[in-house]
Amino acid sequence: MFQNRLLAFVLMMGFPVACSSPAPDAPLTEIPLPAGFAETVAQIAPKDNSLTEARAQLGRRLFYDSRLSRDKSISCSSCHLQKNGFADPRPQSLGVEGRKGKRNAPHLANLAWVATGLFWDGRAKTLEEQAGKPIEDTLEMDLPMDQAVARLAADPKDVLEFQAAFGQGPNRDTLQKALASFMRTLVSANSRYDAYMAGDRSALDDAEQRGRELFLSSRTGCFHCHGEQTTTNDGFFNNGSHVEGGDPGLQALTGRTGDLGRFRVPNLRNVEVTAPYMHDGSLGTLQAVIEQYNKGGRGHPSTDPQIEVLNLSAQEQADLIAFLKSLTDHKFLTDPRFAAP
Amino acid sequence: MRWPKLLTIGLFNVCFAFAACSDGKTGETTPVGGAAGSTAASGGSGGSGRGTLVGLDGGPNATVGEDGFSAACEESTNAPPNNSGRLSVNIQLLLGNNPLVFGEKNAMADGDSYLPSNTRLFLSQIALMKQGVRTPVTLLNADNQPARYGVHLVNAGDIASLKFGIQAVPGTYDGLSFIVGISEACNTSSSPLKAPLDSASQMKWPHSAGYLFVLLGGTFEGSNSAMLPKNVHMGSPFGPARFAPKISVPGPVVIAENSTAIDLKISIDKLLKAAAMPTDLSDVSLLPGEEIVAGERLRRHLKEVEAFSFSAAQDP
Repeated sequence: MFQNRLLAFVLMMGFPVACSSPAPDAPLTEIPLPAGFAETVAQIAPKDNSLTEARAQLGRRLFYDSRLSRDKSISCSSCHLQKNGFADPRPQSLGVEGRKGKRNAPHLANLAWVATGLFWDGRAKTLEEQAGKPIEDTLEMDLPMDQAVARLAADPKDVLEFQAAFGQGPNRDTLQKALASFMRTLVSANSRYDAYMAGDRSALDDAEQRGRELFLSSRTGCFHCHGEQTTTNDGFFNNGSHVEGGDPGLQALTGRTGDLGRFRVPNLRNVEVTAPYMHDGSLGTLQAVIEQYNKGGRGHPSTDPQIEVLNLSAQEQADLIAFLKSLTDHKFLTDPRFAAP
Repeated sequence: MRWPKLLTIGLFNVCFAFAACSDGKTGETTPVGGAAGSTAASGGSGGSGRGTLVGLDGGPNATVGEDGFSAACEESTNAPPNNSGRLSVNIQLLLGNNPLVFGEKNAMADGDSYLPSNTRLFLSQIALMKQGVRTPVTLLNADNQPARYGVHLVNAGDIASLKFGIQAVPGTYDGLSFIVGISEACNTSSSPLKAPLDSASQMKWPHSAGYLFVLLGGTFEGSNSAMLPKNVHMGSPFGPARFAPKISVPGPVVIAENSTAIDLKISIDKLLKAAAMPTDLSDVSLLPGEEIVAGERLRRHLKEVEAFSFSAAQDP
């Protein structure tokens, strides 16, 4: 009797977490809804690329397919590693022939809800548009799209899968849509901070809760860009990382004086494992990030006026880092549904 | 061990509750709220402290609140069928007498320059005025559809947001009124909301503390650069919609079935000056932050600086 009650108790304790994360063999389209979002991925997927299991699985396979690079040496997964939250542990990614990229590869969690533009400079308005650019970029996969399509069209298995997913064979449009569909399924919503936001106040320890309070305080102002629940406001800001002569960021697209050094605000999902940080991968640790913010950035006059010296103590910095680490979603980092098929 | 943390969170929330005057009722104050969940009232306003969080309820039987607007945070705001008139409102953001050029240095009257990096404000509860009577109208978005929650986000960085529409009964009206902010129901929603009230609005505050109503960010250069605030965050985490200043812009305003247009000027320099005006804030306990102090100054002086006007009379 006691064992039954104990078992029931243990099962109940695990129930909230178990219910919030899909089973390892669940469809890719079984997607949790992270806190802070009002619409599911299925609801916000574009009408011309509604999310289906066939499309997501095809996109997953293509994500790991090195035929999409000129010399067949790399795939999307070469620079977006699942164990790193689909980020790249190198400051700049290496493309074909070891060509060095310009910026740090962003992590890929929860991009389904981005409406303001993808890449660090927002130049791709949709996931579909974003998906094709690294394939053709000469510093990355360096393969013209017509050649990528031709490789897929030459494989009957690929043709069948595209037909099943889109009713047509591989072409630029369906290739990009498949990859976008897979990326939409990459949703992280099972960190300890998620449990805390869902009401489990024991999910964060004392240091993490102190760090959270600092994060959400006017004193640090972190929440202005990295909101309380979504951890990003999807805006473009100069957070003090810009240096004279450095990457102009958004300004290269808009030409506006005020857009100098502005980059997309990434969400902080799994930030513990997505180092290095910033658009240029210049900060290798969370400690370095906090220190840069603590001193008010690198001092360039283009820095956003909200960035100021914080005068955080060593303990406060440690608390902030502890909180940031609570955003790690170990299920997301190891989910076999996102791994190479 | 847990109570001190709860108390800290409670004090955080308390410090956001404050007395405010708005709606032309000078002297009407609501005391600083007590512990979370308590209510406080004074004067004739019956103001509340944190009060009850209102979720996304409503629907066809939603309680009608002040001025005829829904008391609930309703996503859909369908226009009554006899509202066959259309008015297009073009927003002109000004710095002095000149259009504000977002993202670029703008010359100011005193010879300084201002580079706006973030200029956002919510407008909602749009109403037409006639002989002292306010009649709510339907706010239309850029697609000429009823705007979600009846809210429009003006964002200087988004040209498309510098225009909104109104659907109303055709006629000639004395003016337009709106609140600079959002309703209490939306401000205290316990559920995540869609655009323009999502996190991408950049207007959400944490701890269920509601939204900013006005967000100004920019840098000044020149000898007077320290006189105006570079960041202004005006919001109202709790309390009734009265905390969102209600503005009346005299017209006339003509609504016709063949759509008419009118230009609404918003003087950003006047907003900045209001945010810097000497103000006795001893009746309220604000969180630290110059931007929050500036925001409270702005709230209290917004009406008197007359930052909103129509550029020219419409042809009736």
